[in-house]
Parts: sequence; C-alpha cells; structure tokens
Amino acid sequence: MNKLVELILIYIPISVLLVLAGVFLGGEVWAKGKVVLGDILNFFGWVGSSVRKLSVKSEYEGTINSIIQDYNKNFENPILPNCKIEWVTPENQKNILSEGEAIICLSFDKKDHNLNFYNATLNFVQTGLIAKAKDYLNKSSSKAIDLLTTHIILRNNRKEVLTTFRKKLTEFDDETRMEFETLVPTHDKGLFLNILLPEFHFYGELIDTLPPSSEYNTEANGLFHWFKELATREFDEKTNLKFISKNLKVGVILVGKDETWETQGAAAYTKWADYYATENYNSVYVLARGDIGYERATTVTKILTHSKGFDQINKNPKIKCVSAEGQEYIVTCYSLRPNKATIAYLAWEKFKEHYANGNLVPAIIDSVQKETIVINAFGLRFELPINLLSDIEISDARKVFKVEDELYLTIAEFDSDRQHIVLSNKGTVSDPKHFIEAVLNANKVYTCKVERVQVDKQGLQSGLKVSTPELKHWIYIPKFKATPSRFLDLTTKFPAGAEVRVIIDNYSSFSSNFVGYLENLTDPWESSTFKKLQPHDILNVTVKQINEFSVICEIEEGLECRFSRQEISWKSEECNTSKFKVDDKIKVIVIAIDTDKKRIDVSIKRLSKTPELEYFDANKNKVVEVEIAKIVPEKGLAVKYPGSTNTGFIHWFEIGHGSVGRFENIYKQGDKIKAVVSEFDSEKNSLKFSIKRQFTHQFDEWAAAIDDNSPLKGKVIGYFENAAHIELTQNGFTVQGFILRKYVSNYAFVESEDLPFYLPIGDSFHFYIFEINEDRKTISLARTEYLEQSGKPNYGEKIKVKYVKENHSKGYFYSDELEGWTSLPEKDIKLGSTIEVIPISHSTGEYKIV
Amino acid sequence: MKEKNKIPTVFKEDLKKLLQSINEMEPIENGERLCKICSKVISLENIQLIIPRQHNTFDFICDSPVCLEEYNRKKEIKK
Repeated sequence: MNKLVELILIYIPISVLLVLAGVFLGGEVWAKGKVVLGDILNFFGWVGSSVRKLSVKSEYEGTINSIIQDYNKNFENPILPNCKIEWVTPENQKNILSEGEAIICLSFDKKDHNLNFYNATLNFVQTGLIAKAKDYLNKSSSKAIDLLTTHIILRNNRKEVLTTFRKKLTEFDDETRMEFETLVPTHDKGLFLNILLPEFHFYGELIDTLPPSSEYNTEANGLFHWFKELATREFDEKTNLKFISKNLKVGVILVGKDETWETQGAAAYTKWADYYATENYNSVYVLARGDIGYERATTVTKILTHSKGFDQINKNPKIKCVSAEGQEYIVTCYSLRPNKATIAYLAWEKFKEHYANGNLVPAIIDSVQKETIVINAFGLRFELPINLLSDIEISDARKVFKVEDELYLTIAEFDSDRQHIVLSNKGTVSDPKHFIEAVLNANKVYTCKVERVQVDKQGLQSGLKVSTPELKHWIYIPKFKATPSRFLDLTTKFPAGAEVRVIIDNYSSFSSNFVGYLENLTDPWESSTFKKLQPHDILNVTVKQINEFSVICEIEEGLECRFSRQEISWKSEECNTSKFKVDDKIKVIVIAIDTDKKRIDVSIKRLSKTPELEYFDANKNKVVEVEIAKIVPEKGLAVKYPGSTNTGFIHWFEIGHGSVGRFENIYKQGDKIKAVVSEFDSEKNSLKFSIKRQFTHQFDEWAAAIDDNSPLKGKVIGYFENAAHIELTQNGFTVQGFILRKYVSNYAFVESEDLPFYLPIGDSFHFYIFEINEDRKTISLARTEYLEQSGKPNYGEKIKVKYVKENHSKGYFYSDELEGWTSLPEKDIKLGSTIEVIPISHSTGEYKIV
Repeated sequence: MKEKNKIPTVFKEDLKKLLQSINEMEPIENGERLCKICSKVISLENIQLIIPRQHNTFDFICDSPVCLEEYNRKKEIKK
C-alpha cells in the first residue's frame, strides 16, 4: 500500500508535467496548442506568478499566431507576421526599452484581463499588420480595418473578449463605427482577408521601395473604396471590376452568369485575364459563388495558370461564408498574378494554333482612335487599321467601337518566326455590319434619353443626339425627324435627359451613326387641325418668321400659315411687318388653303370686312351682271357691280379663251355683260372679274380625250374682234375655242361683220383643230379644210344654204357642209336668209340660186 | 516576414517593480501622469502603454482602445 502511494505520488506529478511539457512544446510549433496551453495554465494560475505569466503569453501568442498561421498557409510566401511577447522586467529593461517603442501591459487578473487582451491585440494589429499601406488611408478607414481584423482574431479564439470589443466600439467616433459596419459584410463574403489584406500588403511592400508621395493617399483610399463597392455588390449588380491607379492595378473576373458560361464557356472570362495581363495589372482575382461557381472558377483558373502564363498566389480559394439568414455558401477567390514572359510565349503559341485551325481569335479593345483601334489578344497588344474593322465603310472607328468591346478576329497574315501577325475583324461575328443590320432590321422602338442638341457650324440646331442602354452608340435624329416645325427650339421641347421613343431609320457610314426619327412624329398636314381648317376660320397663331414682305406663323407645331404685308391692315401705311416679333400671339383669318402646295394664307385685316370684301365673300365664283364703266386701252375693262360705288376690273386676258383681238373694238362704255367674281385684291380693296371663266374650259381632260385629226362639232357662242367663240363638247368634256375669220371660208374674204351670218350664235358646225396651245390652253379651229373635204352635190340637185355675203359681183352662201358663190341675184336677198342653190361648176364653186 | 514581431510587454503583476525601476511609480501614485491622448489621470489600473522618451522620461496611454488607436496612428504619422 505504501509502495502504491509512493508510486502514485511519483508518477502523477510526472505525468502532469509531461503533458504540460508536451502541450508547451506543441504550442511552440502549433499556435492553437498555445491557446490550449494558456487555458490549462490559467487553471493552474494559483501555483505562482510564473505560471500566470506563461498562461497570458501562451494565450496571447496562441490567439494571434493561430489565425495568422492559418492565413499565411494560404499563400506561397507569408503575408502577415507572427507575434512574440518579450517580457520587460526591471532586470532586462535597459536592454529592451528603446525610445518611442511602447510597452504594453497584459494582465492575468480577470478584472482587466479582457480589456488588456483586447488592447494588446488591437495594438498588434495596428502596428504589425499591413502597416506600410495603412498609413496612407483615411483615419476612419484605417481604424475600421484594424477593428475588423481585431474582431476576426478575437472571434476565432477569444470570444469572451468580444464583449469588451463591443463595449469599447462605442467609444470610437461615428465615422469609424460606420466605416467598420460597412466593412464587416466584406469579411462575411470572404473577401476582406482574401483581397483587401493581401492587396494592401503588396501595395505597402511596393511603395516602401518608392520615394514618399502624397499620391499614395489617393491610391490607398481609392483601392479601399473600390474594394468596398466590389465586395458589397448585390448579385448581378453592375460594379467596376477594375481598380486602376499609377502604382496599382487590380482586376476582377466574376464567373457569375449561367447564360455567359453556357453560351461562351471559359473563353468569356479568360479573355479578360488576357486584357488585364496586357494592361500590366498587378493582380487578377477570379471570383465566384456557390459550388457550380467554384467549379467554373477553377476551370478558368486552370486555363489561366496552365496555358496563359498566370501564377496562382493563394492556395485555398474556397471560402465558407454564412449569409445574414444563416445559410452557408461557398465563395471562391483565386488570386492570380500575370507572368509577362510566359504570357508572351504562350500567346504566340496560341496564335500559331488558331492560324493552323482557322479559328477566330478572341480579343478585347484596348483603345480606339478615329482611324485605328488597339486590341489585345492572348495578353498581347495589336493595332487594327480602320479598313480591317468591317466589311462596310467606317469613317470614324470611335463611333462604332468602344474600349473593352469584345471582338473575334481572323488571322489575315501570320509568320510565327518573325512574330508577324495581321488580324482582321472583317466579316467576323464581331464585324459591326451584323450589329448594324440587326438593328436596322429589328424595326424596334427604342426608349432613349436626350443627350444633347446637335448644332452645326453656323450654330443652328441640326438635330438631337439620343442614347439608349440597348445600343452602345448614340442615335442621331435630324431636326426634321424630331419635329415637323422649322422653328422649334429643340432645347425647350427636348431638354437633356428627356425621354423620347425612337425608331431607327438607317445607318450613316459617313458619320458612323444610326439615324432615327421620333415614333410619334406626325405630318401636321395630315392632322385633324388641318383637315378641319376652312376659309374664314379665325385662328390664334404664333409668329415664327418675319420677312420684309411677309410673316410666317404656326397654327400648331409645324403647321404653318402666312400673310403678306398687305394683309396686315386696310391702311397701306400700317402694312409693316416690323411691327411683329417672333413668338407674338396674333389672331388671323384663313383666306385660302392649298392642300397640294401645303400653303395656308391668312390675313389680319380681313378680320374686319369692307363692303368690297363682303360682296366678294358673298359672290365669289358666281356669274353676275356688270356694267362697263370704262375701257382702259390695252389693259382691260373697269366695271360697275351692284351695291358698290367702287369699280371692279376685268383684265384683258380674262375676256376670252383665245384670240380676242382688240377688246376696245368689242366693248363700249355702258355695255352690260356677264362676268364671274374671281378675285379680291386685298391691297387695293377691289374686285376682279372674269368673262371667260363663266364658260367651262376642261382643257386638260378634253385634250387628253379627243382625236385632233378628226373633225369636231362645236357651237357658236359669240364673237371677238376677228374670231368667233366656239364651244366644243367631246367625250363629256367642254372647252372653249375660237376660229379666226380667215379660216371660215375658202371663197370669200370674211369680214368681222360677216361672222354673224357665216357662223350665227347658237348654230353648230364642224371644225378641224388648227392649233392647240398647251401653255395658254387655247384651241384654234378652222372650217376651210372641212368644207374642202365635204361631198359636193350632184348637178341639178337643190341644196338649202344661208345667203351670207354679197359684194359688187358675187353673192356667197354657207352651210355646215357646203359653201360657194353665185352671180348677184336679180332681186335683193336678205343676208342670213335660207336659199336653194344648184351646182354649176364644182371646180370654181359656182352655183345658181333657184 | 517569417520573423516574429517582438512585442515588449509588461506583466501587470510586474508593473509596480518596472515603474519603480524607472522612477515613475511615485508620480503615478500621486496622480501626476496623464494619458498622452485623452489626458486622463494614469493609475496602476488603467495603464496600457508605457512609451520611453528621451532623457529617461516616459509617456503613458490609458486603457481606452480609442487612445491606443490614436497614439499608434500619430506615431505612424510622425514616422
């Protein structure tokens, strides 16, 4: 029994000591072991000060180093430093203490252990982690990074200290707390430790070798904000995937959309890596979410590391995350660095392979100038001249291509030994002609935003430039396709940012622009306003253009009307267009509408009517009886009309359709004649009449319908000075013609006074067309030919004719079919009376009265 | 980077002795030392950092994490 007690007394302390020694030694190489050792020693704190001291040291070093070791394992070269406590005692203080280097207090006592532990951790994080780059960050950003890192360390191994963390967080300023709160989700998504810390570490190492500069502040803060935006983006939200500054370029490849993966595969992502490599990006991150995302990101990364010259920096890209709802998910983050020499070698190998197989080369546009673009393919840069960009003519590459557009190019020339290659976009799937054709054939209405009003070299508005998210280029809408109005100020109707619906009409290769028109653009001449418009309508219109002799107004947008200067007032001294200003609102009356010419004439003065205008409005185009007041030689006839003291006028060319002769010899003062009320001379406030317009004259229709080589039948209407007025009706069309007296007879010299006997008013005769004047719309007739051709009576046959003329030796007879002469009759025969004749000689035309 | 960051640390139980050895115990007990950042009176309970300065003088930082941050930040900027 005593031996047993002895053995127990010997072996138990030895066992405990061995276990403690094992844990201690293990803790030296395995940081987590130190945490365990610290906890065990904490239990034995009562033993003495040395145990308590060792407990605190083990706990602190174990807590910090365990997470740092885990973190560093992920990288080829450690990024974060381990920590080691160096106790300061009265004995060694002279050797350890150095100016400016703070000594931190750590406590075993529960009372201040947690606060001291928290402070010590924060102190280590602040002074030891990414300190070189953090100096250049804003105060709140830097503090937020320290707080989050401290929180991550404590949460991992010392959760009980987190209570102190939370309590003390309230002591920090609002800005720091807000920054901390926005930074926390970036760790929840696994990106704080995997992107931000490494990037700041590498950036710190880089600028440590450069001379100090204030630009590092801009760079560091820019990187921080870019990271926050990237890491807090929602799924499918647009984010800037690149951070670019003077000393640092970081690119991200998001392997996200199923659609992209299914349609384009890994190439959709590897080409961006090529682009980043060409652009000398320091780091490239391939990010994905979920298990499928991990597989795809891994595939992409394998391609990049195996065949595109990228080095993988981190070893464990799979990060377990928990959503706010408690759902676990995987975030994948591959950290890559382009290796330039490998990239160049592999690129030429790729070109060789693509050339041999006739494959298209995927490329990304790096920069665009007017006549050339620079692309990068497989990580190398090449220039493409404008003639190799498309099968269609492009005048300005900047209007068709944009930086970062994706192209698929053919290899036109290739010599791998000389490293000579000519790439072409002509006819490929990325040739803009396909896109242009597709857009033109889409027949689609685009909802667009007005970007600006286009102004020409003279400063005049020429159209609109509008944009739509559906097309990468702006659309040009010429002014006339944006508004029917010549006068509209486009900036008032289409301010920048206004929404318009646009239909694309064509593509201008001259300007390399799509050209469109507004969907709701209507022709004002087809509008209901115009269709309802009638003469005498009174309108409120807006003055738009003022000329010396006329003013142009708008009834509504694009529906123009105009009035001449004399339509301003009945008083000529008031007829001055300068009294108006553009955009004046005025009242007018419609006086004439010409739909074919798209012309609306209006008047101001006719809003109040004179007796002459009243008469005109009441009798326009009606036949009235007027009395010739005065014959104005070579000009026309002044006439009196009922109910007016003023006179109207018949211009000479309004007398007849044809050769009227000297009208002075036809009419005399006091004659009462019929005339049509034809026009109102607003300047003189007088009426114009027409004699000829009372007769139907369907010249064009008639001329188109008749055979001008056949005789036509016409009716005698009246007489001019040397001609008879004949009305012809053929095929339902009626016209007015004339026959000169010299073409009436083959035997007699017909005088003007003979015409009523030869061609009595109301009688009908046959005529040949002598001449048709298309310009003057006149028809000249003849009977001489008709009479020559008509059949002659048999000798002895009695024919009834009219006795029409007599001179000193002969008498003349005339009918529609026959004419001739006789010896003077023994007794008087009244001219115009009917007689009977028999032929004597057909050759001389002599007949005998029986 | 594999090198460990050595952190000069004083165990709270050894603090009195250390302060005595640097002749700061009495001023602290007399309430003559203030936090360099917030000017709070430094005591044995709230002391967090001891910073050696020229001519055997010392600055002290209290146990507020805000003062600790602020001190480190100013130190970095001075650097």
